[in-house]
Amino acid sequence: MNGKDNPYQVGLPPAQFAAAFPFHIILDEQLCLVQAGSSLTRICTDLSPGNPIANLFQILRPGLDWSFASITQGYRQFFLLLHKASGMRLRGEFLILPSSPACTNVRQPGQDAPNTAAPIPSQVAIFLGSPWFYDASEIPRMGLGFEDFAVHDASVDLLQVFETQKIALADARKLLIKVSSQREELRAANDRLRQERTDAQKLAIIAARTNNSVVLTDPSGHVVWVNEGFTRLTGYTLEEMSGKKPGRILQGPDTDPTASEIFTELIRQKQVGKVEILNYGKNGSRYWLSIELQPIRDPQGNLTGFMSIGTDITARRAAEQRLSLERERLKSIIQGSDLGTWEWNLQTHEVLINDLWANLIGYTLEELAPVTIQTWRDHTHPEDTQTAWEIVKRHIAGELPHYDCDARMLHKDGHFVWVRNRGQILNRSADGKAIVMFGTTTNITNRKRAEHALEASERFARATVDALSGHLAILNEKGTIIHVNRAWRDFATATSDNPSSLCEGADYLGVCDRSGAAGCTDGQIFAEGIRSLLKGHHREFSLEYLRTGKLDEQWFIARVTLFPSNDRRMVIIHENITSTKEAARQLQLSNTQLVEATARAESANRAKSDFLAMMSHEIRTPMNGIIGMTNLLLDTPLTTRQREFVSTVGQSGEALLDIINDILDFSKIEAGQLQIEPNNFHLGRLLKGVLELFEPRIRDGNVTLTTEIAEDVPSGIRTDDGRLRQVLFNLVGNAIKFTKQGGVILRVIRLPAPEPQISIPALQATSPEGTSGLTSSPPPPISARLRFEVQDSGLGISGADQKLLFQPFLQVNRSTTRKEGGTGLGLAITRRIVELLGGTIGVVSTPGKGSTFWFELAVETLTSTELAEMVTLETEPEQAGEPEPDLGHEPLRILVAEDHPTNRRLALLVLEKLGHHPDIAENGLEAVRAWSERGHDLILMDCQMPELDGFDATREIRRIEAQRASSDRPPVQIFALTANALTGDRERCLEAGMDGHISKPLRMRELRAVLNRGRTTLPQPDVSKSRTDPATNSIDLKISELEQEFGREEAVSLLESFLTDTPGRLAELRQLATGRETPDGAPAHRALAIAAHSVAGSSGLFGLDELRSLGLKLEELANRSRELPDLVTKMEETYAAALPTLKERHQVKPMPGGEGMCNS
Amino acid sequence: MYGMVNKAVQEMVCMHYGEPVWEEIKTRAGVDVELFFGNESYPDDMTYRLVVAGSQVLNLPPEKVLEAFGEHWVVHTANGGFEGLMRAAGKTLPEFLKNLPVFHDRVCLIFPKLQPPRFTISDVTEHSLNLHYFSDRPGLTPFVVGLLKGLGKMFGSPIGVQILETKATGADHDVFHADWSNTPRA
Repeated sequence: MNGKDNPYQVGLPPAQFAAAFPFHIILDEQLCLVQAGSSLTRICTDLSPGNPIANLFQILRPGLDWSFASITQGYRQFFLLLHKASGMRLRGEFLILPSSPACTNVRQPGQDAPNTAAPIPSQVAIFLGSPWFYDASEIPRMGLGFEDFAVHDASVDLLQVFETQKIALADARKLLIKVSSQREELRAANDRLRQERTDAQKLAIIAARTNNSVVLTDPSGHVVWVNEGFTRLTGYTLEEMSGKKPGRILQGPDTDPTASEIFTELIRQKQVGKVEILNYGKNGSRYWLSIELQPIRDPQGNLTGFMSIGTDITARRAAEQRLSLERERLKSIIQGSDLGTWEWNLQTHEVLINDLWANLIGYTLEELAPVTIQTWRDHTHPEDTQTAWEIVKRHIAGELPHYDCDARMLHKDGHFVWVRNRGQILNRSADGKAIVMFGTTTNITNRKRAEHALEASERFARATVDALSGHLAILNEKGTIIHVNRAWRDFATATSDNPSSLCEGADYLGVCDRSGAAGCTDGQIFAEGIRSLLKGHHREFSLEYLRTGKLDEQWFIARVTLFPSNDRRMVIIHENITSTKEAARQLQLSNTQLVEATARAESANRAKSDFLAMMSHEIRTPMNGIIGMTNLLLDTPLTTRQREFVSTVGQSGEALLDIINDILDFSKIEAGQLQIEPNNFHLGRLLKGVLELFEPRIRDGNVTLTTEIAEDVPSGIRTDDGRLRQVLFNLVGNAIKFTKQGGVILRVIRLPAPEPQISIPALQATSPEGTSGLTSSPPPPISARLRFEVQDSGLGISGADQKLLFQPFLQVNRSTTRKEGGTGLGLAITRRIVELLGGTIGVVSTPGKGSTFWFELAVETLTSTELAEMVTLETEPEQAGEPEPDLGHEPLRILVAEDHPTNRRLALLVLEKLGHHPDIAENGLEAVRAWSERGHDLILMDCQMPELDGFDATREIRRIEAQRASSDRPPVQIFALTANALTGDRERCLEAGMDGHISKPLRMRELRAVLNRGRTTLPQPDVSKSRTDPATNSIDLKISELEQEFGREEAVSLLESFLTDTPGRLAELRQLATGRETPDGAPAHRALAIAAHSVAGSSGLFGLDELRSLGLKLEELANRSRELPDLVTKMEETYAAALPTLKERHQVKPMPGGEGMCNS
Repeated sequence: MYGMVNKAVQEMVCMHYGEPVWEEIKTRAGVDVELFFGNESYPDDMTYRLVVAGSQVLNLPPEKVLEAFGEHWVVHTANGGFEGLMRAAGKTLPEFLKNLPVFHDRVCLIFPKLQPPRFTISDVTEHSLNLHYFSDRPGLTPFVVGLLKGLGKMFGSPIGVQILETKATGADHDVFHADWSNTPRA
């Protein structure tokens, strides 16, 4: 659409035109300024109307000069103007328009009306444009703002686009720079990578081929690659190692764990490090490796693995170790040997010594400083200095390989010490001059002393050897004489034409050989002996030989002895033993005579023993008949005169038996066959028994027999009661024998406590085990020294006679002996028995006033428990040793096996008298047969019988019994009837299976005891059914026995003690049964066992049988287990039930049964 | 959002904390862009991630980071590239603020991909006005506060900015009260 076709003529009022084109310029035909836009005129203040445009603006484009025609010519062309004053550029175009008043006046801001004075041009040139900026900052710099621009003017927005693009360009430029930079970096990195790859290839080749072992692992230490060097070193291939941890394969038992830990820590810390470690090859070989560990990282620094390079340092380690050992060894040698060292520079005269060198002469290094060769000279003995210098010079000159010299050096303390200097040249100059010499100095004072002492010793030894009367020579290992003494030399000179052939240098072995070859046997033997020594077969030998001289014969003994050293030297001594030989011959003669005499004596002694044994048997057997028959005869009606004769016969028989017994006892003692057999027993009872034996003898006389026992004498003691009884019997018997008027007192007192070291050898040696029974380790026995005295008011004994009293076969008063009888052996036997019991015996006597025979014994005293047990045992009927009550109920089936008619008859009579009707067997075979047929309760078996002796018969019976094991019959009781009273008889009887033995002659009392014992083994009638209360009966019986044993008073005292003691014991049991420990920490079960045993023991004593078995049961269970049974309640109940009876017995009179038993 | 915003973030961090911190923030934000082009459009999410990561690395609340970015954007980034234009938009702070809606309209000419916020002003007095900010992007209120404070620094006129209303509190747009009454008189 153009303006011609447009019916609407658009024209703009001046104000709107100015607002629409704030930078327009209107020029007249003279090119003077007519009008300018408001924004333009605000910036360009010189735009006054009428001003020629050429003064204000320059046409930058197109290349025209200012003229209206050129403007017209350039109509609708692009113009770029430059305001000269402000520098503002305007882009736009010129329009040529006819003039119009509205636009012919230049309006200044604030001008409301045009200047009417100016002529109006015909046409005008209008410039429409706007400022042109290269940079947005020019807008504010020009003082322009958004409001200065017409809204349709996009120049500002375009400028903003331009700015944006500029910024984008700048960003792109930055990016370009960055990209270029990165490309450069990339190129450099590529170059580096290429180089590294090349290097890596080289390194890979090196790694593969190097002798070092190279291992690559992943980050966790598992092998991914090893080189050939690794395989060569370890024997393991890559395939074998791949995926494994090297340490697990290569380390072994001697690998230092610390080194291994360090290596592990390096891997853990991912650090570079070096470790030396002992590894093991595939074949087990050990090698030392120095390993350098290097973590491997990627360019980002991430760990990709480790590389370890190992160097085999086995040889180096070995060398280091050797060197270290060598250094240590040298150091310790020098330190240990007190070796002074020195070094001397012969050119600079510098001398170095160590502190030990200074110490050798008592100085410190500081004290000797400065050290020069003069230091050595000053401290060396003048006599030795010269010698040492000569040796040094000869060594320097090459004449001696070493400098070696002993010298004396002056010690700081003023004395000289001996030293040994050794040294040598270390190096020489080119012209042969010695430069440095070094060496050691050793203190040899002790060695020198020893050498001097040795010389003195050798001198002394030579003098000693020369002083010997024996002919002495020393041979070397070849048998050559290297030294002889003076006696040897003198002998050689005196006996040989060529003495030197027998002295130093002579072939002594050759001399012996030649002598042997010449027919001298001794020479041959001698040579062989020497050779045997030289071969080491012996260390010495000797030879006696006879040397026949011209005038006489002489005996020699030659002794050849090897020296203790290993050099095979030997010493030979020939000694003249002619006189010794003679003496020996005499001695041998005497010995032969003596042996013959001894043999005769022994033979006589044997004959005596045989005689005694024979006499024992042969005399006892008839005596058995005599005494037995006499006793039986006395039980028959006799006249007074007959009874007197018979009594005399009986007494004579008894006396004869005593004599025989004495002789036998003495024989046993002399032969050392009398054995001591200790037992626990009640002393008072023993004394009572002894006295009772003598009652018949004093019953009608004027002599009293009493006992005095001190209160502190223990009731229960342990020693050989039989021997003690024998001693007392002898002494009391003697006293009564020699006392016609007055009394005999048997006295026992306790001596002060024995010293601890007093021993009771005979008793301790034969003490049986476990007699106390209460504790597993009983306390040491309490011992007491007892003095027994037998005092009489008899004749008394003179001092001289007292000395003879205890000698055998001697009697003080032979007339008395003749009157009183006796062998004179009694006191001798008594003394020996006392000594065997560990005691001493003696006598105190005044003639006319009487005598006191005494002996002292050390005995063990029994504890109360032991005493109680012993009393319990002794009160058992079968154990009673004293005259037994004849229980005499049913007659026993008894077999008497005896070949001797008298004895057989005697036995029959005695047994019949006791109410039995025995069977008879005349030998062992008959006895076995009779027993088999009739089944006896008891057999009295003679030992010596025809056909089958008593021992074999017993064995046969026992054998048959064993075969009849199922039989209800108890084994038959067999007792030997034997006159064999000698030691060993009893053992033989028991060994054969007998239950005991009775010595002939047969005594009624002894037989009765045996019969009672036999009866107790048989089934007894059940007496309990006839009694109302068995428990009460048992208590009564036991208390009666106690009364019988100890008397009423003692028995009550014992019962009282029991009643007082038992409640406490039961309370103790109750406490211990709770299982708590005892106050002293002992286990309760052990204490419980002991306490239960104690209660059981004392209960048995008083017939509390149930309480006793409960106690024993509790003891047994407590000993076996820690689980303590509750038997205590039962025990308490049992005791409570028995208590009324006990209390009653405590108060009532003695039991009638007790009296009866006492009288039996 | 155009790259110039992200650039502002980068410049501010590098200027005050150094290149390594910026790398750390980029890594944490998961942004792998070597160089932001100011006239390139980037996802809004990237800007938010950078702000969050910056907050974590610099141990600052996200609001403070956004505000700092806004201020820096005006003082260093926009002023660096568009100072002339900005100065042309007003010789004084009040003049610029009054021109701000128009200025922003014209900016839209330059950045055709811009999803432009819209500004209007009201309650204009001699020393204050209310600026209304309409935007679809949530959470940029502190950024606008920073922009205003940056303008104050640019024109040497201390400005107090008070948030009158926000979309977060239920309004349909944010309203800021800008007060420059403390501006020293020439």
